[in-house]
This record gives sequence, structure tokens and C-alpha cells, in this order.
Amino acid sequence: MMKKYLLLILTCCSNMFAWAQHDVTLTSLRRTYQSTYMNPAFMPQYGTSVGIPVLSNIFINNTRVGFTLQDIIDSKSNDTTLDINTFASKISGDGIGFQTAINTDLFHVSFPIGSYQVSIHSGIRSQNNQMFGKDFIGFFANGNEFFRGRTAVLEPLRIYSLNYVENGISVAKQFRKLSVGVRGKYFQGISVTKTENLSLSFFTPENRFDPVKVTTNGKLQTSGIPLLLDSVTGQPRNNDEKEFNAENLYAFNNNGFGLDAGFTYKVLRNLMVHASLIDFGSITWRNNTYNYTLSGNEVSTSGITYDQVNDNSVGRYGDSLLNLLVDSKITRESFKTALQSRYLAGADWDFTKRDRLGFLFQGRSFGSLLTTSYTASYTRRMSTNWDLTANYTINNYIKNTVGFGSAVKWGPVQLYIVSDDLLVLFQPNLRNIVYLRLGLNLVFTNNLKVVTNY
Amino acid sequence: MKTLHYCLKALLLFTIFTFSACLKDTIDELSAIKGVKVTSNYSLPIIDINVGMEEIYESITQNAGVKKNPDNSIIFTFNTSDTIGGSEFVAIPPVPFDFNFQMSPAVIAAFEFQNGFNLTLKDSAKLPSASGELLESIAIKSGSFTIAINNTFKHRTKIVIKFPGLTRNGVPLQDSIQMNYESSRGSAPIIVNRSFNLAGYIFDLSRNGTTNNTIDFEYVIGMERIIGNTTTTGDALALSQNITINEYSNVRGYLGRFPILKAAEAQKFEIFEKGISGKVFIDNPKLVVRVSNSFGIPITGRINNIRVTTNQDVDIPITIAPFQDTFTFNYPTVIGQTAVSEWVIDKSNSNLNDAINASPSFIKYDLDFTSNINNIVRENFILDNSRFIANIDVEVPVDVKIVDYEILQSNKKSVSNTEVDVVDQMKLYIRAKNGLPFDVFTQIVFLKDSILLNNTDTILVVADSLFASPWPILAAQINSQGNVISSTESVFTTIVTKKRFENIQASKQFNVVSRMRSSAINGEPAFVRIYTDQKLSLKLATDARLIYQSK
Repeated sequence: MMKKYLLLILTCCSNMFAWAQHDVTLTSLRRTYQSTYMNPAFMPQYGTSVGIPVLSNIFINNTRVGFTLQDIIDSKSNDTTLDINTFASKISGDGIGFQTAINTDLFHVSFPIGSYQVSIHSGIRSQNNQMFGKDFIGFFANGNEFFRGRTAVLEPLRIYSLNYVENGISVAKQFRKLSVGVRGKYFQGISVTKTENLSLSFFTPENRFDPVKVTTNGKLQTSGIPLLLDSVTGQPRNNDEKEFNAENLYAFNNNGFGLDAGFTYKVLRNLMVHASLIDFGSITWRNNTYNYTLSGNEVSTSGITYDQVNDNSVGRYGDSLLNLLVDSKITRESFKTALQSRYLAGADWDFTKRDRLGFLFQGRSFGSLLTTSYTASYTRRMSTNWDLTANYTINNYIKNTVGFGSAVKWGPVQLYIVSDDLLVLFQPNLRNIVYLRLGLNLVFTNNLKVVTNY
Repeated sequence: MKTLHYCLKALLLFTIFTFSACLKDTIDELSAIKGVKVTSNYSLPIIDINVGMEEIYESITQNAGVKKNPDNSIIFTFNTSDTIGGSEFVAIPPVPFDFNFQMSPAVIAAFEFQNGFNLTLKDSAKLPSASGELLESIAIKSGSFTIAINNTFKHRTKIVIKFPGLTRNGVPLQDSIQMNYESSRGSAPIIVNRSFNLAGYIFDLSRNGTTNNTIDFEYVIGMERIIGNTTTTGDALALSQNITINEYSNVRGYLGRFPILKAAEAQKFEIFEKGISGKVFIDNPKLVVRVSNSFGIPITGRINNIRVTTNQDVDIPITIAPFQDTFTFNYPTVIGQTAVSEWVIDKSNSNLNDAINASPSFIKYDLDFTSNINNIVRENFILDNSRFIANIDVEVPVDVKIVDYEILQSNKKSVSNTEVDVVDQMKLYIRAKNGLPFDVFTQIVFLKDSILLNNTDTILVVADSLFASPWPILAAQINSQGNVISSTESVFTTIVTKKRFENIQASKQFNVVSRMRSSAINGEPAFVRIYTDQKLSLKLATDARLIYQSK
């Protein structure tokens, strides 16, 4: 029974967060304060919004790429055994990846000052991306025989795990048809683990008796994580470095700054275009940092040598290859981590006072990887205080999604709930995204002068 | 609006039911997975060995060595060495000697009349001589002189002890002991115990070259009467002394006759030990006896009962002309020098050639070395760092002819089942480039236990063999002089199936059987010459199919 519950969680969670998943639905719920996270120039309908601590913004996003649960099911060699080789052959794209994002707001408050809308917020942001390269999985599942006479260049693992506190203050102003908004952010880094061009090359010679060569490259950087190896550039580590120390997580020596900026422009009375750049910034990590560098270390072997046989060091044959992976240069310099910036551009057409069609283009960078999505949305004002929205998104990295969102207000309490992929409810075995954002805001002052879209 | 609400509720219900059904199906499918299976094909080089006879030889023997001639040809050597240190001989026993002083009535009268006296007494002691040693001097490295005095005279007494022949930096050992009687002692004697460290002293036992084994000493006794105290003939001044020499730096003189070395030696020929059939012909092997001697003492040797023993325990006597009777070793006449004596035994002065060509597993002999065997007195010396080193090398020269000589090496192995599961098949590729002038027909046989019918005893039976028949690693090509002119390549491929792999894993012993034959001239194995640059390159690679299935 427990196994079923675990599988249920796995099923839900594995669909729950998206590889570089975009927020495609939240943008349409303009009457929530949280929509301004997508574009600080969005002017809220409610002049004053106060976030209930933690409950105002609960965001869980889990995305899996490269495979579906159906791929696992289809990879069973009989009723009970998962055939890894079959599974590896079903991996699409660059590999299999998992992204988990968990956000919450400690508080937010948004209020007008004169003709300006000012917002202040503070929240905890957690993004954890891991990706295992397709060739890497294929190599170890199928062996090196396939690569005879060639060098298999494998990206074994890509990690981007970032945890920080985000504090922001934004200002937005409406100039007749144009509204502009900016949000300055101050980040307090908690911990980070990230890889940079981590790669492993394995040369399999055409002639079986010739040496195989293994080369490693790349970098792993951490902050707030204990030292993973035995020494730092020749200096033995001490116990303090070895043990996990929670104080490293809230030392707040890791500071950074960021910027969100956007605008909206009413081209026609019922046609508005908008664009924004968000999460443009970086964090400089200074606390408890480690930089592990694998710079072209190469091990070549054509087998156990006479000397190894003679001095009973046959085990070194394997050790020499494994040591390559841990034979890294380690330094303690500070380093900088850029956030995953996002670019949004869209247009809204209010074809009735209650109905809006929208288009949204979104791009998100993750290192050299740029994911893009195109979203068509329909939003209806069901009643004075109830909005519903649905959308269809084409994503270049994951399957296309159907999103849904709703925001309802009873008295001063506004409840909203958003999911970027509803199809997971109908096809949990085929869908890769579980995206859920919900929250409770206290809102006051219906600012209809600003919200003229309905 | 109402209709829309109904529609939405219906949609919600539909969603919930559909989600539940889909989710249940997915969970059922996933929960049915009980394990994983992965099939991998790896191609890896496993062994890359490049060896010459030098390495092969040293790997199968423990006390063997290799000498290289100027032309890089190889001589194999088997070496034994016996070393005797100088401190092991001429043990010097402790030298105790006592002295007792008492007064007669007349002496007492004179003493009381003069109220005191000074008396000088000289004497000597003899060093014990167990083996007829006539020692002249000993440089003491560690030792001691102890003296215990028991004085019952009730007067003030002073005694000066002096050893004229026991000097350090030219100064004789001398000590003065003052004993003052006090009335509070009553009749209790005065007791004094002293000990002197003799390290660094030189003991002249020859009284300047005129005698030997003699320890001279001298007492000066001064006694001052305490008027009123009685003096009787029973009063005594008793001295109990002992000289102990634990270690010496050198000892000189005639050291006597004693055995230097008496031992039965057996030198194993490991290269022949594992031979089970065939012949190895060696052209003129040598036995080199080399003795380095820094004992300043004539030593006479005798080597008895020299013979080789074959694997079948057959002894073949070796007759060596220089060792038919006793022989003497050179010895130094000046301290610090080392004299070397060497005998070369070969086919010119012995039948060693025939004995070694029987491929023996041992050479055995009895050693009996004695000093001053004729008891002629002359000056000898031994230093504590003197060494008598007897090296005996058997040298097998480069010219050998091997005719189907078969070696069996048995190796225990642990029975393992741990890796069996993952190996489905291994295709082994073996390539040998032989630059050595020998064919080597190799087979590896794996043995496992088999229970006999009585259900208690087990015997070893063949579980598998690596090759269907012994794999020939063909010899290098040679010229008419027996020198290698080109190496020969041999390749072999075999498939080790899962079943075979299980057999190998389950075996508890593997035997490596190698049959060797010299490169041929005119179809017959020839005498060949081995050089350091002749190598055997052996490479093993595998294409392995591994199947892992979790349980």
C-alpha cells in the first residue's frame, strides 16, 4: 500500500515540474497581484493587495523531460521487469531531466502612491534542475561497443540547484496608453550547486588491444554544501568542512541583485501589447564555496600491466578510471550565478467586456539552453469577482500543454489557483508537467479606472 | 449563467473521475515493476603485459637474480649467502677476584704503636680461556667493573684501587674510597658498593707484550687509628670485585680454534621446481663460491656432500676438484681490510654440467668452516663489525636448449559467485608477439571439488579450461647462431559463455601448464641465447556482454 502512495506521489510530482517550465497561465489572471511577477507593468485591478504570509503564494512545479511514465511502462521486458536499454532508446531530446521549483512569499504588499503603484515583496525561491545526458545513459546502459573507433562525448550530469531569498520593490505607472513598471530585487543566497560544461569523453579504439582513453572536463560549484572530497588543493579538509552546517544556509553572505522590467501599450481600445524581462540578475556566492574543476584530465589504459600484476595492484586498473572523476582541482573562490532570465511578449484582445483572447511568447535561458513557448489563451470574467482562464501552449522542449486558472474574490479575500497543464489529470502517463500555484490575498479598492479591460 | 455553472460542475466531476481512473491505471502499471534489467556490451582491453625472460624469471623465483653480460645477454643466478658477525665469537666470561686484608697480632701491635700505616699490595688475575685463547688486548664497547667492600676495622680507612692495564685515553682506571668509622656504628661493618662503566677502555692483557690473558691490579690501603677503638685479628677489609665485558670493539691475540660455520644448506632451483616433464639443457653452468672475510684469523673450509636433488628425489653427487679436501680462505692482516676468496666451479673442474642438466629442484651441501684449525699460535684479531660472508651463486648462462619442458603452476582461488550474474558472455581476444626464442604451449585448467560416492571425501576435477587445446605462442625466429632475428605473432579467440564463466567462478584452483621448446634449427630445438631486449608482448581484450537483472 505504501508503495502505491509513493508511486502516487511520484506520478504527481514527476509530472509536476517542468524543465525550464514557463508560467503561461498566471499572466492571464491580471486581477491577482502575482501576475505582476510576470510583468511589473501590469496594473492591478485592486489598488491594495496584502499577501497572507506563506499562503499568498504557494507554487510547486515539477517537470520531467526526455521521457514519460508511459515510456517506463512501455519499457517493461515482461510484466515485471523494466528494461533499461529499451527505456534508454525511448529518451527524447538531450537526456532525461527533472526540475523542481518551489516558491512561496513571506509577504507582499501593493498599494498606490499618487499615480504610482508600489509593491514590496519577500519570498523564498527554490529551483532544482538535474539533467542526465542521453548519450551518458545510453553509454552506460548499452556499453561502449557501439562507439568502437569513436569518442563518445558524454555530458553525464547537468545540475542547477539554486535556493535564495528574493526581496523586491516595484513601481509601476500608467501613462495614458502606456504603462511601465520596474522591480528591483535584492537576493540573499542560501545554497547553490551547479555544473558547468561537465563532460566525459570515452574513446573506444578500433583495435581492441589499443588503449581506451577517458577524459573529463568541466566544473562543479557549490555554496552551503559540505566539501565532497578529501582535500582542497592539497590541503586536507577538516571536520568543519566535512560536516553539513545549517548556519551556512542563513549566513546571508551571498548577495545579489536583479531586475524585472516591462511595459504594456494599448494599441487600440481593446488591443494591448506587453513585454517584459524578468529575473535578470545574479547572485555572488561567497559563503562556504567550493569550485571543483576537471580540466582535461585524461587516463589511458590498454589493460593491466606487468608491474600491476607483479605488485598486486590490479585493482588500480579500475581505480585509475574512477580516480579521474574525483581527481579535481578544488578552490574556494567566490563565484557568480546568473538567474534563469525570462523574456515575455504578448498581446491581449478584449473582444467583449468579459472575454479576452491572448497570445504570449516566452523564452527562458538555462545556460546555453533557451526554451521557448507560444501560448494562446482565453480568459472570461465569469462574474464581478471571478475570472477563469484557459490556454494552449506549444513548448519547444516539452509536450504541449493545456493550462487552466481561476481567481475568485469573496469580500476582501481573493483565492486563486493555476495549473499550466490540466492534461496531466487525464493522461498522467503521458504528461510531464505538474504545475500548481495557489494563494490567498487580501485585496481592497477596486481600481476600475486602471482596469479597463473588462 | 446557470447552465454554465452546471457545465462547469459536470466538467469538474468528469475530470475527477477521469483523473482517478487514469491515475489508477498508471500506478498499477508502474507498481507492477519489480526490478530492472540492463544489457550492456563493453569492449575493453584487459591485459597488456610486456615482459622479457628477466621479468618472467624473477616472477617465478624468489631468490633468483639476473646478471647481464656486456652484450646484454642474460645470466640467471641463484644465490645463497651466509653472514657471520664478529661479535658472535670470542665470548669473554666475567672475571671475578677477591681480596681479604687482616692483621696478625704483630701487625696490630705495630699499628697501635704507630697509630696507623700505609700498605701497597699488587696482584693479578687471569682471564679464563675456554678455547685456548691467548688474548693480548680488548677494546671494550660495553662492560663494567664492580667492587663490594666489607670493612670491620673501627678506624679511618682509605683504599685506592688501580688497574694499570685498563686505560682510557692513556689514563689507567683508578678509584679512591674513604671509610671513616664512627662509634655509633658499634660493631656493624662499613659496606661500600661501587660500579664503573668500562665503555671506551682498552684492556691490555699482555703486560706490554710480555704475557697474555693477565689482569694486573694494585691496592694502596691507608689506615689511621682511632685511639680508644680496639683492633683484633678478626677485623677484616674484604674486597669482592668483578670485571664484565659484554661487547668489544676489537679483540687481539691468539683467538683459538672454534667453528666459524657449520651448516647443511639446500638451495632451491625454483625455475626447475615446477617442471613435470621435458629437459632443459644448459651449456656450462657455473657455481661461484665467493667469500669476503674481514676476520683477522685463518679459516679453513670444507664442503661435504655436494649434490643436486631432482624433482623425483634422486640425488646426483657433484664432484668438485677444488673442494675435494679442505681449503683455506684469505684473511686480512691489517685491521679494517677485507680479503676475498673465490672459486669458480664449472664443467672444467666438476661434473656440475651434468647435474644441472638433470633439471634439479635443489642443490645441497654441508659447510664446515673452522678457525685456527692447526692451533698454530699467531696474532689474530676480530672487530665487532668484522664479517665473514659466504656467497654461493649458481649461474645459468645464456645458452640453453629446452625440449618440451613442461611447467605446472597451481594457484588457489577463492570461489566466487558474486560477478557471475552479470556476465552473459565474454569473447576473449588474445594476441602474443613473441620475441623470445621459445615456443610456449599454454593451457589454463580450472578445477573444482567433486564429492566422491561415499559423500564425505572430495577430489578435484576439471571444471573448465581456457583453451580447447594448449594455445601455442610460437617462438621467435632465430638464426643459425641461436640469436633471435624476428618475433612471431600468435592470436587466439575464445568465447566464454555464461555457463563456462560460472564454472570458472566456482572453481577453487587453476593450474597453468606451460610447455616450452626452444626455437628450432633444422626442425630440432636448438641452443638459444637470451638477451634483455627479447620481449613477450601479451595482450588480452574482451567483448563482454553483461546482463544485470535486479532480484
